[in-house]
Amino acid sequence: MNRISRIFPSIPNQPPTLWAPIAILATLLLASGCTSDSPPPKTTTAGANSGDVENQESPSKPRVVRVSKMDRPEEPKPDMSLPVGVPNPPFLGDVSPDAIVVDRTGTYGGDIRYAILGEVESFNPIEPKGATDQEIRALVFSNLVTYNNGKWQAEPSLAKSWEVSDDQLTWTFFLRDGIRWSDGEPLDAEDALFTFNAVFHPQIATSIKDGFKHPVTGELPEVSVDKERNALIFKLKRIDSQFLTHVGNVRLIPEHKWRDHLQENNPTLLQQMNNDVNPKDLVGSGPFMLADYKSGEKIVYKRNPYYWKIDARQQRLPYLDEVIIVLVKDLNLLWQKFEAGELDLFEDVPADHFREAVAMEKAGKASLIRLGVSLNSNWVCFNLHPGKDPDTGEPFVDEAKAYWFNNLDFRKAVNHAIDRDGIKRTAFQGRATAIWSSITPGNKTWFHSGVPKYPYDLDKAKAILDELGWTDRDGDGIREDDKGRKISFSLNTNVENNLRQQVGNLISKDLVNLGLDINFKPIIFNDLVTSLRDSHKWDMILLGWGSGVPPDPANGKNITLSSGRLHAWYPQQPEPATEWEARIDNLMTMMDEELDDKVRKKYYDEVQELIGQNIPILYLIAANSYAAAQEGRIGNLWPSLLRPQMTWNLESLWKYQP
Amino acid sequence: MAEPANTKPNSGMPPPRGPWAILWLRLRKNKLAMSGGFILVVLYLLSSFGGFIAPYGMNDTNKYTVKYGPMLFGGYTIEKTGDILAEDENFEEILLPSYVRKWNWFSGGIHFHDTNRNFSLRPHVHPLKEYESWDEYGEMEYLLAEDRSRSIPIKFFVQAKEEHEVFSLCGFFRVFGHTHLMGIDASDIPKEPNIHAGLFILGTDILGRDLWTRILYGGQVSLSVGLIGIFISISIGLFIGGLAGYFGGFWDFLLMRLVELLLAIPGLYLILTLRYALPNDLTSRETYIMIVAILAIVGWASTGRMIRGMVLSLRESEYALAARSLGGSSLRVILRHLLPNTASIVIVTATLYVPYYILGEVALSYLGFGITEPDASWGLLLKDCQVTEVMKYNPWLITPGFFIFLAVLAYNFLGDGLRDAADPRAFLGASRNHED
Repeated sequence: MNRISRIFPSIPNQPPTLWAPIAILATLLLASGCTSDSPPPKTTTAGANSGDVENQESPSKPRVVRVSKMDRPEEPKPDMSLPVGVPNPPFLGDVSPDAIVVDRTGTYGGDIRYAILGEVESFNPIEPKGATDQEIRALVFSNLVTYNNGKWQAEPSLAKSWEVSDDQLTWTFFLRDGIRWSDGEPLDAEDALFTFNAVFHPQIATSIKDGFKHPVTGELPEVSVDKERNALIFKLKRIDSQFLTHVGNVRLIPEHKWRDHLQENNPTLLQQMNNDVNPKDLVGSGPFMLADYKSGEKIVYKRNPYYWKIDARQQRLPYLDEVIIVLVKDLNLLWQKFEAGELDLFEDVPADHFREAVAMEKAGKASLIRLGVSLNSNWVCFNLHPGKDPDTGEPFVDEAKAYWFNNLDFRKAVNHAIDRDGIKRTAFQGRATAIWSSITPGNKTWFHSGVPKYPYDLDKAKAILDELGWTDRDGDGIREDDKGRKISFSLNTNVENNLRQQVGNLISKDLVNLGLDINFKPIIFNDLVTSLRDSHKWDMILLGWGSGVPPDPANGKNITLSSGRLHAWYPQQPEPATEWEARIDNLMTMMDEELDDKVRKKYYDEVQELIGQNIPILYLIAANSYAAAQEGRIGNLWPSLLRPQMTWNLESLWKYQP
Repeated sequence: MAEPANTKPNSGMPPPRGPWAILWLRLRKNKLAMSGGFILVVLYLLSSFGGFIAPYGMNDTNKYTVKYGPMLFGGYTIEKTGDILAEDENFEEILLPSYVRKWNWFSGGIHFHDTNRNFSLRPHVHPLKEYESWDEYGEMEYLLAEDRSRSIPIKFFVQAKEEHEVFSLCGFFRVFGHTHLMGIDASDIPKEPNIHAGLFILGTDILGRDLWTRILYGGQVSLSVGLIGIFISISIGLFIGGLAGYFGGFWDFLLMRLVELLLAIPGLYLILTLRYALPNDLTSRETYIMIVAILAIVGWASTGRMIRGMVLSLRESEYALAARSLGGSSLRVILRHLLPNTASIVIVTATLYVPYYILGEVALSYLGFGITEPDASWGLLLKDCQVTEVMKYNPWLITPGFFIFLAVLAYNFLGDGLRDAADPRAFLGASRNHED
């Protein structure tokens, strides 16, 4: 079996010349991953011979080390010889007959410490406000269906199985029997019904609900419960290929606890479980329960004694007694804490800490896991909004700027003028890959190698503009368009992000070389988002997309659909502004209603090609992704490109006891 | 033929000196203050002619010369450490080289011999060769090291292709030209793949720009921010202080409460708040003016209070009384008689306060609220050092900090010297020690 076809399963018949260089690069970049209990092979430099480079006939032959390649970090294997240990506090209640068996072993006891950038806004799982809230939800609350970041696929959680009717409109989820909430009360389909009623409540505003809505009518599925079979039944208004994802977004809350807060009028549920919650009130069915929360400092979780998963030796999970999440505001501080050994894990090692991470790896203090090309993309985009400011009646974009930006050849020239290799070598210190679509090579399921590419070619870019008649006529180095107006506009990015400032500087330099007059101005992130979403007063912007879980493009609908709020170049269009945007809208709807992933991939390939051909948005580069773990501390790590990279399977992690 | 008595040669007595002459005489005896002044003159000259002295343009990014060490102190050499066995696109096994790069102190870099190893008075640099170094995870890293078999001469008065600024006073009154004081002639660089060359006296930053060039351009902002700022704040201080001190009573009360209000506000946070309130679509130059204005608006309070105290006591002096009784208007008395007498104190305070403005700009730019890329200021250059990795692997990037340190120290020495020199209770020379 050849390696490249494994990495690019969808394109085995392409002529090798086109994609082979990228493929080999990706192959090499998607290098070995390792877990902390299986340290990587030691580096070549250790004990290596020093040979003179100029002198090819070096007296001592250099040692040859084979590249260790792996597509994804391997699943950890159970080790029956591990000591069992004593859980403290002990487990309560009986093991459910339907308990999930996880193929792991571990030792009870100990804690894990990791950090999150940011602050908790709310513990309420019905409406997670910030990114932190999303991430910590999974510790306390479980869902019916969950996503396995290691295998990149959905798998059963509180629902042991589900049935879909032939017309694909009725879904029945069978819940596990004998499951208990963390306060000991039984969990059944009624709780699930209560939770979905809360999410679907017309007066509860939550982003979770949006996925269930019919794209045209806004109708929600009907939910009912089958008590006899302990099942939850959904009746959908249309076929929805992403229904499992939407169901997985909902994490169950106990009916017996919050019954009184789901009133018909003005429900008070969203005011509950805020960040001033009494830990005792945060009853869930996840592996841990909240023990202590100190704002801006840390969140402490302890084991849920009624948790319902067991391991390969029939021991109950989780292994860890405690989880301590340190809340940090600054990435540098976070790194220093990891380097000092205060934190066990460090996710998303940024480019400017990479050498320190390698140094720790070489010193045997930590293992650095190479996860391949990140799913997050960086891009620049022109403002194509044709609208007018309702207050002043002036257009959001000047007539002249709109004339340039809407010219496809101009955008092509700009794309050819951007030196992605320069960005990679400088800002990303060589650890990145040029991209031509929002789907990076890291996303092997959806990556499309056939999107149009615009490689760096300044002469070609200049020729395109010359052909348009946009030449420099007065000799000041700045081109004028065919109507004699100097091509001058501004480029914004957020000032808080050093990396983006560097990228922005490089791009403006490239465009100056093309003969455009660029005012590069990093501004405060909130102002940037305001101008992008609401005031529309911007010319060119440099930002990035983060990838959601699961990494399915259907989750990026608010970006791709012309009516989306994050449809960067012209958001919330009342009608698709162009034919190709209408086609994209169409394809996205077809994707939603298609269940065959191969057909869906074809649809999305076309979407990527359409965006590539019309380049309303210029994708630039994706960094390589790394995660680091302290050597010999945490067992059963199964790192993944998807976030959270290492803590998604927290219930089966265990701590080495000295 | 009556000669004025005071110009008559007199038996050994030196001619009487004015207060400024006395100040200068005292100052000259203070070695520390004079060296401070000298350093400042050098720094201001360097930054004013920065574009000429610098070998490159302010924003000459170069993707091949990222984070290269300071050539003044040595250079990199490379050693091959092994080979990595990998597969190419046809699944055939290939060997990829693996290198390690070593820094050599005071070897290589800027040196005084030519390609044939003959001593030469003209300084030379080695061309830089780029190596692709692979690790066992299949990741490639570019390493730039000296090709020590060859040397490139450093030439003086090199003509650059692009026009750049050669002189600038505080970022204004700019003169443009094509000449660099020194640099490498593009025609001397070998036309070979993977061969690059540069004159990086203090190393390069993350975008491959020459740090020495950036420091010179950054000085234009960082050094002038203090001068312009102090000019504005002293003007406000003189005006408000003069009014409050001369009129006293209600005005004094009102203005001094205002001063206390300003003094009670923590400066840096006020600056940050004001910066947030400013529009965001300003160019970097406008931002720079705004920073100066913000710093001055916060900074005039203490000067104002001091002037007020001085004017309050001077108001009661005989000459002020005389001026008033001769019918001088309030404005005239303040401007012609009272404020000139505060001049020595004002100059001393100004000198001592300039460092605060320099540090203020550094703090603002460091935090991302001041000068932003692609412009340069010493604070912005230090921003790269926020990452711990830089301190470990690229320590030359903190050299702008050394220049800040130098400027602040020089201003403090000069200010201290001026204060001592302007002290009316001190005698000429160090005679007080003898009296003690």
